[in-house]
Amino acid sequence: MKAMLSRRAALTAGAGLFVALGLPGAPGALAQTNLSNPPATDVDSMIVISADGRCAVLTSKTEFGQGILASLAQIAAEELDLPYEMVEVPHPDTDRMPDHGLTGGSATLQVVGPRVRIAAATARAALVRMGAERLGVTLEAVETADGAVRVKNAPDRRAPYAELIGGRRFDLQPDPNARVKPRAEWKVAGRPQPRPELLAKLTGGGDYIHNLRLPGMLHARVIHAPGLGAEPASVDASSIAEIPARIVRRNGLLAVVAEREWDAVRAARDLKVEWTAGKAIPSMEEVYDAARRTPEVRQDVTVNRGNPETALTEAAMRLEATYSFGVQTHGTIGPSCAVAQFEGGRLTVHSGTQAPFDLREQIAKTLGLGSPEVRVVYHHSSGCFGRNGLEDAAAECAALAMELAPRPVRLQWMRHDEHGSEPKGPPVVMDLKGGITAEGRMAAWDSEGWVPHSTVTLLRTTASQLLDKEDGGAPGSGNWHANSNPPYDGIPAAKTVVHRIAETPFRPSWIRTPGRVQNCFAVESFTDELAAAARKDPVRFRLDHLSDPRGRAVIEAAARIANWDERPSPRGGEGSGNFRRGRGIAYIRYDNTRTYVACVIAAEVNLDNGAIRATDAWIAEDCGQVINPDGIRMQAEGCVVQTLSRCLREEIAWEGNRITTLDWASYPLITFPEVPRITVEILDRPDQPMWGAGEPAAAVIAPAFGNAIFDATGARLRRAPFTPERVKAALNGAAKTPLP
Amino acid sequence: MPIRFTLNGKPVEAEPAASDMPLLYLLREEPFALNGPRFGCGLAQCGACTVLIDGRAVRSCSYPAEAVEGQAVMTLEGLGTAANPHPLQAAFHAEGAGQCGYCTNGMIMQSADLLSQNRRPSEDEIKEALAQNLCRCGGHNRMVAAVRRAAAQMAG
Repeated sequence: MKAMLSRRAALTAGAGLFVALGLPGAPGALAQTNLSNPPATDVDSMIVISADGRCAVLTSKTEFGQGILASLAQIAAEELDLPYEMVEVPHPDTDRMPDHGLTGGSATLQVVGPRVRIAAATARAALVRMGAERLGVTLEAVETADGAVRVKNAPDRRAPYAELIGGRRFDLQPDPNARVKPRAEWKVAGRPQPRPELLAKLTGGGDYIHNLRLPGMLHARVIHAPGLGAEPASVDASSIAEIPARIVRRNGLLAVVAEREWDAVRAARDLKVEWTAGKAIPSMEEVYDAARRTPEVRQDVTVNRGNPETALTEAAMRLEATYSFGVQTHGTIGPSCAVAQFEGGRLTVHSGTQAPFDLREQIAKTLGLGSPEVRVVYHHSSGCFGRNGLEDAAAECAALAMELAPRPVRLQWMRHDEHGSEPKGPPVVMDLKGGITAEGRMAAWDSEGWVPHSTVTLLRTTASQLLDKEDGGAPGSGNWHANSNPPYDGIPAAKTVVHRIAETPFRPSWIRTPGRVQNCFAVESFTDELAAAARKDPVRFRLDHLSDPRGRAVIEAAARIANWDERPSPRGGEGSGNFRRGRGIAYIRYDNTRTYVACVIAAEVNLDNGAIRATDAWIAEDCGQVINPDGIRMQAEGCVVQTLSRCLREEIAWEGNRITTLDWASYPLITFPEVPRITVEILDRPDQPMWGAGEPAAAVIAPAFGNAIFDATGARLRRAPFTPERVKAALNGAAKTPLP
Repeated sequence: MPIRFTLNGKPVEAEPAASDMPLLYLLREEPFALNGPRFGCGLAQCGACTVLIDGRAVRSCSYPAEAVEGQAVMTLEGLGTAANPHPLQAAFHAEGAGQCGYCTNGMIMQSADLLSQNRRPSEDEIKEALAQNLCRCGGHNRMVAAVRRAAAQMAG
């Protein structure tokens, strides 16, 4: 592999990017061209070609393992006719990058991909003009290849991009009519490419936020209250008198700071603190009923056609069920970390945040600074899969840096901080009613669900709460109402209502595939209940109610690769000894507007102890035009494993207002022996828009797994995670209820 | 009390901050400033901090620094470099085994221990060897494939 740009150099200053890109022999070029502040919509805000001919793609989108560095580089390399290795996507920096919004919602390729493509195509057209002029030939006489404009049929007559534009600005607006390469001409995109950051991470490099060490840096630990909303009542400084560490206290924010990291860790461990009682929250048993009783801020009707009330009355058979999904944590392997420094009137915060620009605003408001006085620089972090503790740690660290200025401060959360104090995937509950005709078709669907009103206003950082300074809350994200409707247009009467409630016990956060994981679990499990009541095959039943050809295609593909045996569920009777095996399917069109996924899972159930296992997962996914098939595959695999983990036993527990699941023993993740074989089929749509793949496949895992367990045993799981106790209870229930 | 040990093949000397200071903190602070072993839980539950001590995988977050006196410590950096990666590192790269990559230190170091004991482990033996190492991104199957690939290459 060719030498890559130095990430470490790229993170230093706005100008550092260009130090890294190199401007040999042209020391004045940067100052003269003011490359560091192009208008936010210019080609220059997204595409920079350095003096050595390398290309940097600039965006506020962040890489945390989902492979966007590769995909965005592929798009730019393709349109610019540059070798893949010559294109880099540097870390976002609010001083340097355009604000393309936060990273999430599987939206990076969908939103930024086309913008990068148009910017790169515009740049290429400009380079063609410059090159033809330089070479003294017409536009028609030149072509681009390998980072240069060259005369067709005379490849030795060439003008490298470095000479044409290197280190200077294009000063162009992206041209929506710029010629974009058709799929047939692609050489770099549309095929697997290695992720440029991976090898460094595997060899002890990798620009993780955890690895950032600034000269003179202090180490901090914030001591979070064990109870929700509690604050320090008294602090016994003498309890750590022997440790070279100092206590920093500002309002509710309590921290210890030391020169050596271990001294900060043990000071935080040993410091004696009395806490106030904090706020009362519903118990684990009450949390879903509490959600139903919580005042509603808004109501979304996500589908409304026909008259479900009448249709239910007239239906040959009616079913009712309630589905609920547990409170979960993001489970980041590397707890949140940040480094901050206040120097010369400016605060620089280094963070693994998904949302550098929004974090800048939150920190500025919390600390009473203006936005221009705050700079946020992104570094890789441990996979966050939603808004975990990274922004909290960053804002806390920023507050400490103000107290300890001008020294830089590194704040590392401990495991119990991450499990205990990061925001949570909220409890979600849905009540459903369905009716089927005598012929076994869905006639009516009526549901209502309860989700957090917003992860916007409710998601202030811990620092904002502890310092009692409003920060405006997090940016809009989450869309917890999404996919609360059945995806089947063949249901003549359907109404689905989502109640947006004012608060949940813990700060509600978006967590991979927010709302869709929980809603699709309810919708696609209940669809399976209706299919079973109608004695129809679950795949055939879905196809019979779905007209969308792309939706049908993923369902058919998943069934085909899984070698689906067509028959109604449950299988009944079969199986050896105490084990039963079954298969289940689930389908989603993400947000009803983009990526299509279907999944078949084969499951095994131990009737004695309620232990369950997925042995195989087959995914068929259509996310439109494919840029990096290996990236899609990798994300689908990750969605399967992570969501199975969430289905098996992941659930936050609490007593009073104290979370008790503060480590991996009490909040266990899936382990290697439990991971199924996974097969992924991608349905490439070269002529369609590109859509994301980071989240959609996660939505179908819980219902496919639950439906497979039903197929194996006749036991219906309506509460996730599917703990052995819940499986056993469902098995007992199934044994008492005659099969339809 | 300063302690002496071998770090990635070189004799070194260091002074722990306290008798209960885990090895991880010593390795990550100056002058060593190593990045391979990563802090994950501090409870020996996830494996992100794994190093080899006298050839065997040890969770450095829960291993007292003082205890490495006279021992040989190997970290991910000592195993190989980006320019000259160990077969395990090269295989993880080739298989795309790692998304955020944070856990991969532990996966690779634990696998290095496994391959030193069992040159051609079966798929189930690899899964068993890594059963106490946590990955959140779901890179498991690719990691198993990577260990098999490395084993095949190392066995020649």
